[in-house]
Amino acid sequence: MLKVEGIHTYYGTSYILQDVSLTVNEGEVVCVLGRNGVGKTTTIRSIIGLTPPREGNVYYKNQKINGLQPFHINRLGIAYVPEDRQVFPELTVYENLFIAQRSNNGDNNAEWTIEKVFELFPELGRIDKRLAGKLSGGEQQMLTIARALVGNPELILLDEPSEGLAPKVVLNLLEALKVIKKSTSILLAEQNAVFALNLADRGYILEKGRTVYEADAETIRSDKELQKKYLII
Amino acid sequence: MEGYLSMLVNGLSYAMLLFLFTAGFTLQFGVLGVLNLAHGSFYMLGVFFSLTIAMFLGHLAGSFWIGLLIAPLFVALIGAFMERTLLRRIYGRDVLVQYLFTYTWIYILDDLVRMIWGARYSIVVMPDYFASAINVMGVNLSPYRLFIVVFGLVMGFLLWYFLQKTKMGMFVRAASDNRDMVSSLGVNTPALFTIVFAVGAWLAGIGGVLASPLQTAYAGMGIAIIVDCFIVVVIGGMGSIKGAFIAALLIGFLRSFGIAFFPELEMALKYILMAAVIILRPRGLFGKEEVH
Repeated sequence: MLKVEGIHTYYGTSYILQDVSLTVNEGEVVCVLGRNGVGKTTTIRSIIGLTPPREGNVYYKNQKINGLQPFHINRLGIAYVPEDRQVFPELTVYENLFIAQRSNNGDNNAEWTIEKVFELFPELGRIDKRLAGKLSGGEQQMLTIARALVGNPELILLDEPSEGLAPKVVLNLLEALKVIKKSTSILLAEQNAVFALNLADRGYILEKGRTVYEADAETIRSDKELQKKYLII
Repeated sequence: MEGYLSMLVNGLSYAMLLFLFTAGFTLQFGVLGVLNLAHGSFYMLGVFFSLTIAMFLGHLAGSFWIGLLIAPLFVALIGAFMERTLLRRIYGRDVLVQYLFTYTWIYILDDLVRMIWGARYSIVVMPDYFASAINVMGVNLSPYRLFIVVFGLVMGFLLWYFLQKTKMGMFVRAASDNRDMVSSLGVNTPALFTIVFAVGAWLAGIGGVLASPLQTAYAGMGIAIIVDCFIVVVIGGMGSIKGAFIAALLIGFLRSFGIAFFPELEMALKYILMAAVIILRPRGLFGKEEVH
């Protein structure tokens, strides 16, 4: 469904991604692991088009999408949940969802509506008139995920969802993501490997802007040497 | 009593003109992040389009209203064209570059106006029913100024409704916080920018049409109002429509009452108020905490 082929991305003059390749198949949850600063966020931003790669290609459903604008990429069915939440602080919870709402074409029972995401995240339903800027970190994280969902994407790019959240909130999030993954493919960038491998089917490891390792989640989970080398801080 | 009431109406009518004008300016800045120094030139274009329409259709009863409807639309079209072809190239560039860029537009548009309309000074004649004073509680008031007050309030309400209650308005508010995120949600932000810029120019054009029976038209007239607009934005807070409304009222009253009570200080009062706001509350009355 998503195929990233040898992309190289610059952030201003810094050379961040120096050859990243990965694929996400339909229905899969794929995680991108690695320490801080190896290029996980830039990988996600390169796919959604916010920092377009200078070399290499990104294909979505066999269509080349690098070079398209973010809004165009989103309309093809890819949602983006940025790492630092990025809710619209001056809009209410409901308005944040209302502007992101989009129906998918086929009639699908699994279609996400605002009511349905409030069932998934009951906390949000109770504070739907509150300004998003006034929410806690955990509530904002739920809101950005809910905001991505109501656009009814087929693939969600999820950047560091567990970052800065209390352990209990992370557990809630994990439960919600397990529900979401039943109907949506996910590409998850995470520093928290335990959290990511709990959810993912497959994983890639990034090191200095390169994909250096690929395996199924079980293999990465059990390979302590690998974790020591690339993941443990 | 007589003096106060007409001062009130004069102050309010200027405040509404200034508010409509500044709302467009601050809306553009909020979303596009560009201070359009040539905003006054759009106001000037509104005045001259109004002149031309009055010249050709002046014999018709409804010519003033046709002008009010059509002239701002032409200004909006010119704004949209300039955003698409020129302004779009300098988003995210150094602020100084943006200033210089829009500053050049002032002179280009001034010269275009001189070429097309000539250097003469003219004024739009207002409809008869606006021209003769009406008597309210024994006081003679200008019906045209009363009309501006009501029109400004209605426009202010519509603007508020658009921004708060419509999906497009929510996109605008969201984009003024985070353009990238709005784009990532599937909103065609380049088109949104064009629309916002055109709406801003449209509001300036409306201000120009409303002012055209009160003020002689001349190339270069955009400068005077852009200065007051800056003062309103600094007092009200960058990017805040509510702030623009309150600050425009302050400036309007300061002008009309200032002339009566402190005639020799009138020009200075607004600058004193602005300086006080800059010192005591740098982000303005309703400005956001951080400006980015």
